[in-house]
Amino acid sequence: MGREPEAGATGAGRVGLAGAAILLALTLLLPLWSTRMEAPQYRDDEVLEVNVYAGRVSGDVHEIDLLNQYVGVHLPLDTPELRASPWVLGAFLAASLVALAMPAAVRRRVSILLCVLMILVLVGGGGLLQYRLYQMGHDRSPTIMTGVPDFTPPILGSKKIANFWAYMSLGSGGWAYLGAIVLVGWSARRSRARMVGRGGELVSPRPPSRVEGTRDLACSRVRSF
Amino acid sequence: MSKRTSRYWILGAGIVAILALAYACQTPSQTVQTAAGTADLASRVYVPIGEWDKYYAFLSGGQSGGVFVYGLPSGRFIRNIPVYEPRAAYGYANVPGTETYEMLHASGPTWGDTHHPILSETGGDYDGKWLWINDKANSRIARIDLSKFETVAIAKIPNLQATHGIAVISPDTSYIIANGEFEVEVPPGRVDEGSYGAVMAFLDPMSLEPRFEVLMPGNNDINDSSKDGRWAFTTIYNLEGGLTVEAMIQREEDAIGAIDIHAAEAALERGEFTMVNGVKLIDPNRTTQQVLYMIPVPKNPHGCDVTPDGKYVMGTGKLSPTVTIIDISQIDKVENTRDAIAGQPDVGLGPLHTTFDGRGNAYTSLFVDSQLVKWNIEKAIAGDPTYIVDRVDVHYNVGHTQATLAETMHPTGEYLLALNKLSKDQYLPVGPTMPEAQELIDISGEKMTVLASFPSEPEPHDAVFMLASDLAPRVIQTEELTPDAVAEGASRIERVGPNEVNVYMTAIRSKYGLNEVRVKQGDKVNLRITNVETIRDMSHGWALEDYGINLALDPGQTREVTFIADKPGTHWYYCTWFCSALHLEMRGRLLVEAADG
Repeated sequence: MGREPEAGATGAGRVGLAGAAILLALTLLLPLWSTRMEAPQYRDDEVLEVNVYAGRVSGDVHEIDLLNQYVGVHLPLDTPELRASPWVLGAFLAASLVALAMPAAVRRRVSILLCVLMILVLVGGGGLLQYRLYQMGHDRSPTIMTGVPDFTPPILGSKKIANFWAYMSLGSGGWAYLGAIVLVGWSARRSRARMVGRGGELVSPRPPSRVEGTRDLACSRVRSF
Repeated sequence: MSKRTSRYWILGAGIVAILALAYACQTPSQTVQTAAGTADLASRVYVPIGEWDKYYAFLSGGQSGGVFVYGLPSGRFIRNIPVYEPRAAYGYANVPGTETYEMLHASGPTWGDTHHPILSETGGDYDGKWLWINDKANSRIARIDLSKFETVAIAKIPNLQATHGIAVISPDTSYIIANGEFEVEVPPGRVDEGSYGAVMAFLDPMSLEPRFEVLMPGNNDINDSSKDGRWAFTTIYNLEGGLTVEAMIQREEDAIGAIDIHAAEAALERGEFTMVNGVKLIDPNRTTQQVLYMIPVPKNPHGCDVTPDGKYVMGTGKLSPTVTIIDISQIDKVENTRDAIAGQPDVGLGPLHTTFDGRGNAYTSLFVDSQLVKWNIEKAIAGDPTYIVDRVDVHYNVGHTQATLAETMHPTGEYLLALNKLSKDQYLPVGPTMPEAQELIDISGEKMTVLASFPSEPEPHDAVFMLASDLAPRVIQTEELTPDAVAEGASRIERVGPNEVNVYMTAIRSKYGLNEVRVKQGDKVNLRITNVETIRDMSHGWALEDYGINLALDPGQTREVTFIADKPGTHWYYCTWFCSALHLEMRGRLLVEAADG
């Protein structure tokens, strides 16, 4: 299937973008990132969960707030990046749909741009999340019980906080986002394949070197095609 | 050695030998527990930390007026459900104006003597919905909601004294039957020994009101029902009608009374009853169709137990060393009810109650012998002399005994509890009155094994069991917020009259919705408080100094109390359930401004 004639390659580019669009739509609905908090008295069906969705935080926020009376932590539930997240993801979704309707050459360029932007947002969003987690563990109420030193939970992994073990992980929406990046990149690659395929001459408007950075970051899997 | 000396030697050796023999014969036959044996027993009742027992055991609390809940096989004490006594810890009936207070006080005194816990059945098996418990001392019965382990209804039963035996009519809990053990004049209210009688009440399981009552001879003791819903059985002593101990034990025979429920219902339809205190009372001597059958059993019987297959009802002897096995299918077929008796095996001294493993064996408690005896029912009926299977000693004077799920149509035949009347030397001494003793016996094998003993407050009479897997999933974890709940953030004080204020308050870790409540001396204060927690076990309390008020609030629960703020000054209220690291800080003030100030 990888070396199908032109029409097939074009189709693959479109299919990739369509898949990315579906995954991006899912990122608006599914949790992007989750924390599970376990303690001896919070087990099984009573494990506390915080799920970050596009634009909102849900889960056992109320219960964690009650416990935070002693730890002095404030959950950052209303941050600019959280408010912006549905707009950014929505813009990506719109861009992928627009690209779908474009001729191959334009589609390729839009796909490359989209892939770069999505990676930048991934890195930037991860950085902001890490900053919020740091802030949460450090900007604590002064009038709290002592004995719990300041802490910084990693964005992925685990951390002991007071009597809890917290486990941070990507949510299903987060995985969908990663999948969307891969599909957008792959779609760019397949669109190029069509260009190359036409009469054997290189008609790609830009040499691959122009997107070297992109390919190094996340489209590297695409290169193997 | 001279002849004389050697004779002395022989004589001495003979004496020593005789003494040794005598000593050996004296040695109690009780098996001596080795360390390994003890470890094995311990492991059979050990439930690891964090794991649950396999069974709930509900023990009546006797004079403690409630129901004790233990886990088996560990014998761990889980809950004392207050029924006829107030219990401030649970906010049960301890504050005037509260729902449970009004319920208990409307029914009678604030103490009780509970004997026989019984469980609701559907299709002959426990459905885990309700538990009923009698109060012998004040002729009451109560219903406990097993989704919360809380008493939800109490009623006094009219026309009788001493509600002793109670039973569920199998298989679908069509009635709860409750007898009056003590004879009183019917209708009651005037001293007339000539009209003495006792009634069997057939109660509505939910409202606890009698649908009808049947006038009974003698003193009714323990009840049970057939598995098809037709028969209500009761052991009857003192057919003599004696009023002193001596007079009550003259006759060689008393009876098991069998009430044909269908015939009684038909009598009601024909109008064959008289109204006594608003209750339809059937006199079995005046019905067209026979309602009451009397099957003779040896004098002053006690236990009355129907086999899980519904074939036999057994009258356990008490003053006779026998158990009388009655073939239920023959009761209304034979000319003479004596012919319905299928067997009458000797089991030991002072037999009180009989229970079953569902494998054809019966287990009878022997009060005088302090033993449990296992015997085979069919062998006993057939006259096979090997019907006794095993005996074990218990400590001491066992009364009731129950095997796991023996009252259902599907006993598990796994454990048996001996509810001993005396513990004497079994536990650390705590004064002349010692705790009651329960002994757990493994009956899964051919021979019984006494596994462990655990004490309790006075004084369990009977017990029933439920599989944890059947009941635990039905138990609620938090209360649903009711429409009258105070919402978070909605705490407020409203003056509704010149001398009346409504106070709405929430409770959640670690604060009340109101840090202070300011009222005027003499104000009537109507407090409504909601525990707005949403997780299991996060209970709060609201205790008010100087006013004797303590409310207990389950997660999600709303309670109300009304009081007159007649004491001026500062009165702290605080949380009585240790809830959080800031539990001690969870308090506020009732500020009562002096009327003259």
